[in-house]
Amino acid sequence: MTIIKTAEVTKIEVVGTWNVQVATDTVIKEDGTEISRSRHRHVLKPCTSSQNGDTWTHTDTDISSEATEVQAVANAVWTDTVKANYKTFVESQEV
Amino acid sequence: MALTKVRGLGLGTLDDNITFSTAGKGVHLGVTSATASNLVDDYEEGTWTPSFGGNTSYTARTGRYIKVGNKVFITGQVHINALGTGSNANMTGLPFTSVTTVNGNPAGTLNVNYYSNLAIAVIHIAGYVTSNSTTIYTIANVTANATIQYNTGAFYQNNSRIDFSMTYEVA
Repeated sequence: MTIIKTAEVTKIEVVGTWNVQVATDTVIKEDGTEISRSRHRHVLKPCTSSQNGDTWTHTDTDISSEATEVQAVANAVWTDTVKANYKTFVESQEV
Repeated sequence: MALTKVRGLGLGTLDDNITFSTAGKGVHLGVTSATASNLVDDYEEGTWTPSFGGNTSYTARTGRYIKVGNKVFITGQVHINALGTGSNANMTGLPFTSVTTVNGNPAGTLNVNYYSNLAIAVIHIAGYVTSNSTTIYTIANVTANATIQYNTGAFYQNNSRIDFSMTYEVA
């Protein structure tokens, strides 16, 4: 009996202009037959942002640990213009 | 032969799950003709990872979600070990981006079921997710009869724990 556990990126969705939504399924197979599948989700944005007084700091999101196909989508979507628009959006949010 | 159409009267039984051959298809419930507002065509359940960002370490953290149509129901528990450079007020990592709302109205409201070891003494704590966002902003009152507001303080510290649930709208 062979049990194999793998992670599969099953969905990559671009929502709005800059949100990259990723669904990753953990699949367990016994002798090649799937016996379990569960889903985990996370959303990637171009930057992480923090505010100190009136000063904002934006740091590009590190996507080096993401799957290759996720990196490809994020790099295609997050153009300099999109990043600039995202930073403007974040700074405009009144919370 | 693939099942393509069902017609009949009375009760019927199936002995397996129904799987559509095309993604995004569903069932019109309670009507006798295709009506968009009665279409159930989107359900998903899974996990997500709440985060305070930075280099925060955790004693425990779990998150689960169910998405039905454009509503997402989440639950979560976060027990911080060391907050480090993480946020002391905002939690990120929601499984779906919230809808873009009008006039910056919240897309969902946080219900706090349990908290311990907060950095300040609160008499009420809640939170919300803003427009087009995956971040939960914590709000609290430290004074009775005061208007609840964000920025009343730094809520989280080492060893803080918060258990919560929230329903929010997505695009």
